[in-house]
Amino acid sequence: MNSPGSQSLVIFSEVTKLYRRRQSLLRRAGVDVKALDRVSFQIQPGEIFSLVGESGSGKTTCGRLLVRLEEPTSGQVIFDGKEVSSLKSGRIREFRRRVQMIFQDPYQSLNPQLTVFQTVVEPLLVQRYGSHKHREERVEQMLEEVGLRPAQDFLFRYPHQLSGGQRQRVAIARAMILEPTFVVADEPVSMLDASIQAQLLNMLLDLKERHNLTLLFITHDLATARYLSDRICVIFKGRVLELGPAESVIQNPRHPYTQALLKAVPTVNRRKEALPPPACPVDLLAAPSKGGCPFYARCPDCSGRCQEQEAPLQEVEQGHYSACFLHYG
Amino acid sequence: MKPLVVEDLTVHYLTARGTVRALEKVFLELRSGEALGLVGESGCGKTTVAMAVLGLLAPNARILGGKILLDGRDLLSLGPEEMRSIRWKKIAMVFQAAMNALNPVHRVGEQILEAIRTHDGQMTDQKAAQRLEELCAMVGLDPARMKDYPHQFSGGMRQRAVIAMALSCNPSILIADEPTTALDVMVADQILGQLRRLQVEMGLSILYISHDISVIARSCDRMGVMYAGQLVEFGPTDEVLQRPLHPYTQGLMRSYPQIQGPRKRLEPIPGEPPNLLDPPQGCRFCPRCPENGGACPSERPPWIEYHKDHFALCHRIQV
Repeated sequence: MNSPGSQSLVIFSEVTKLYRRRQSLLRRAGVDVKALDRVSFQIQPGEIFSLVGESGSGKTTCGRLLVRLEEPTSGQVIFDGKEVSSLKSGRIREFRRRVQMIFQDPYQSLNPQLTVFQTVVEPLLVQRYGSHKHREERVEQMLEEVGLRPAQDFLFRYPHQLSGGQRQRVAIARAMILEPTFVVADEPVSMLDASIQAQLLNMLLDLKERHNLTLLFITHDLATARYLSDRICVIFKGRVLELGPAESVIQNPRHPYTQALLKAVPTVNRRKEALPPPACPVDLLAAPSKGGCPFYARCPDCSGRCQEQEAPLQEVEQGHYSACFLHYG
Repeated sequence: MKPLVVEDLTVHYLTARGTVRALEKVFLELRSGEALGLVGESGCGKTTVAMAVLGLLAPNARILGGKILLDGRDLLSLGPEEMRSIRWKKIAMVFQAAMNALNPVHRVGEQILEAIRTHDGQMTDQKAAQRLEELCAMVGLDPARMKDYPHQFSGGMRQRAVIAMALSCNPSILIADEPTTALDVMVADQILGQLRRLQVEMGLSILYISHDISVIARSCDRMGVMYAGQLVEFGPTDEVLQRPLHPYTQGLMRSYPQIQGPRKRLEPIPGEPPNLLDPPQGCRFCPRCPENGGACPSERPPWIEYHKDHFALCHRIQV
């Protein structure tokens, strides 16, 4: 699937990730929770690729696998032609320079005991970059670039003296200072207020243009994913259900899950509907399925085989894939 | 029909770093059976309004002026005992992140029963159990699951349980503070649908408080927009969203990525909200406002009704 593999910067190939969950405090042997189930996708250089899913869908696990915070149980995660989990120690330093991550919560991701300067300069020290003078200039330049101007005013502040938006700018400066090729941004704006979110989203777009970045954007918010990305991948319970160009997925969703998700998104323009249908006391998180489509219990279009078999991703139009038996006629 | 009116409410917080001017002359009017929304960014004072209405402000809060009228009675003049008779029985609240505050070692049903009993100690077991079942039906919970513990509930179910507790004394007004934050999109949609059902079918008046303008857009008949402790716009939801008057509301509308229509570049509001220890003298939005000028920095703007029922707090609006 997708376009030719040789040009992709990132390749997920049949990646499965199991987490062992202890059943109780006393009994050690536990059950495996499948966070990712044979997930495959490829990210092209220079694109913004969004992974969209609800909580527990496995979207964050994908990001963590990519920056080598986790190892896949099976399958391969490949960055620039090399498998991430088998990088030799010499290569790891290079990998860590080229791949960076921005976390969701700027209140937790910054060390409260470090000043802005100490936080942003740290990657340069680890990578043994230049002289002290050089590093100082580089940090100032980076802070200005992420909108902390004048940089002098921010260098010696601590995180608690910054607003949420400013903290996230610091986190972005830290991620960008080594001129990475690839950045994983995990819900980078979801903790912030709307007017600040918009500022940061535009800044990410500008950074991407200026530095020719490739970005994996992880979010639960389809509207934000649409705004930022070239392609959107919809993931549910560890499976990729739909993948395609952003506009195509939003305007013409093919998988019933994506359709349901889009219907539930509240929008500023939508007028209030008539009274909703009576509530069904269904536990949405339950309804497990064994081997079948993860969405079948809630799917308005499900048929008998959805329960036993899962539909493979099928190309429904140019570059747009969906995993549903509906497309098989 | 106005069961709840907040008039010119001014609240300060006394802190070690100085006086936080949290609310300045805020106005609100909740009509009987309507859904009213209050939208604003973090720290704008929207939760302070709710806490003032319930008489639950923090000890360092000082009410400097204004009235909170419930059926014509000023709640601010009531003593703690009288206030207790109104809280939960007339006005109930679903607090922010309350679904995480359920006691993990007690069964969900017991906790709802406790809420029912606290306010009517005389109730027989049979009556209480009956009431529990009614509440389950109202919020869409399976009565069979009442023996479960909170950790066996999903986020959406816990939120429903918390709403059931708030409704246990049959209040006429419900304040819902960020009722769907931290819930997944589809679950949030169901919870909002359930609240709407309660509002329409039972004539409940609901005050929604949210940072998310789309939650307000989905649920509310009328809405107010707050910024840095001031109410800057108030009116019918469709009016406010389609013809926003205040430059802040206009900026907010341009800050949201949309799922419908063409994809256009967002136009964020520059800058950040002011520090309420030392807010601008006049209009608190003026340092970020494209229309800023004249009396804006020095004088509180006039509160004017520009269209029927549609108010804004601004020096610069020309109609």
